[in-house]
Amino acid sequence: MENFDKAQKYTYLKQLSTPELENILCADMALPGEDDVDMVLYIMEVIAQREDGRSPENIVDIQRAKEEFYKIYNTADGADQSLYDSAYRHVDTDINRSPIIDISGKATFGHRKTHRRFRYISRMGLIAILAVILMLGTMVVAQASGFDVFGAMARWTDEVFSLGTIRYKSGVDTDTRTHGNPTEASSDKEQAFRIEYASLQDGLDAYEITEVASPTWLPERFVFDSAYALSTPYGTLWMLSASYLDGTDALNIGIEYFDTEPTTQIEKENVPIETFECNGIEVYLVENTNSNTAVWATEHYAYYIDGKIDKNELRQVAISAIKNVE
Amino acid sequence: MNRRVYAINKGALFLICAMLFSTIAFATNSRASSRIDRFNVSLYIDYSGDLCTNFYVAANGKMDSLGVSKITIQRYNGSRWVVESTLTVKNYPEMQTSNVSQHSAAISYTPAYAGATYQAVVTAYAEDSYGSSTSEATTGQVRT
Repeated sequence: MENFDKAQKYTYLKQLSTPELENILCADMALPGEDDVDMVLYIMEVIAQREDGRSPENIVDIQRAKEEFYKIYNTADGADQSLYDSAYRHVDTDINRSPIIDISGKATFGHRKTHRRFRYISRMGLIAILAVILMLGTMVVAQASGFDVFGAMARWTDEVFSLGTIRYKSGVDTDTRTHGNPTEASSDKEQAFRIEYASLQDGLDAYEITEVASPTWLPERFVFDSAYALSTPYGTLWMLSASYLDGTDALNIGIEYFDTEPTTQIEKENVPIETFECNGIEVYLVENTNSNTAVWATEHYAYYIDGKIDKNELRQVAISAIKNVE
Repeated sequence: MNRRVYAINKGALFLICAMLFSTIAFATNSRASSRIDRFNVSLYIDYSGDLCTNFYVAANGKMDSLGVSKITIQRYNGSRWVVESTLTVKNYPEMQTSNVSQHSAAISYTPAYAGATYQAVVTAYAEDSYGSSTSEATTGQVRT
């Protein structure tokens, strides 16, 4: 009851501001023997409450500030815009460093912002996932259809393989009104087109080609038959070729020079393409009806070994050619 | 949000299906050969302005006849390809030879039009005592 009376007695002190209360405390301490201990304790309690931010006045202020914020600043027009300058905006994107001063307000604002950011991240994530799925899907479909997107630019269908473009015929009409003239074969042109060599390596040496080499191993049953270089009409190398025979069975080696992509088409069965790697070069083993072909490409040359030879031997011939490059 | 995700997913599924079907259509345009292993053909304009068709054919054994049986010279008329001329072994015996496992030649042709775009469709041919095989390829395009 006595405490209740004291509380009633000093209630008016709550109406005063903190500086005013501090002045009363100072004045009380300056008057020796007249200090009112109860009043001092009451004032200190009021000030302590205010400093902790839990005073009724503070709560009212906080509420008013929050309402003002949502009414004036947090409007639809200002969505995604910062209250602060651009230098600070970057910092503002970090929810942990939010510049909101009010504890409860900060919690509310942070929650809304987190929600908005979550939606944004979810949307971006979804787009990214779809893009990746599309890209992977395209690559897998392309790989399955013969575009070796994971390796070199090899392409194949059920029956044709190429390190370049698959060149199948498109539908055409016949024009019976105009014809050009078949040109007489010229022996000069023919001689310029084909140059014979005693071996494949001789042809490579003649053109000073060191990027590829002839194989150092062939199955003994195959005997050298012929080798020649074929040129474009401008005198540049088009292809080097050699053939080896085992009776009527053949083993042919072709080395095609290319600027943009190789143009050779390789016949194949509708079976999976086997590959192996040698000295960092991916070699494709292509199976045909009665024969096999090993194919690989360097920077400027496509290398082909084909004929009636099993894949194990073919692999050895290919490895000996790749390892023969200095 | 869910509706939008569903729409995007539907679009992605449609694209993947479209790619799969186009792949199937692409893959059916092919052919096979039990004698021909490898075939290369290129079209050039030589110094005299003639079209020059280079070809090389490799077979898996000695053939009674090996080379190309037909070269169809095609010109683009602005909307489609039309056949301007067909070159055969009758006109160009060097298109084929016998008793070899590889053959090559350069066949020249004087085009009817200057400033036109041309391509050649070339049919490779290999024949032994058991039968024959053909393979067809289209060259790249050149402008006369």
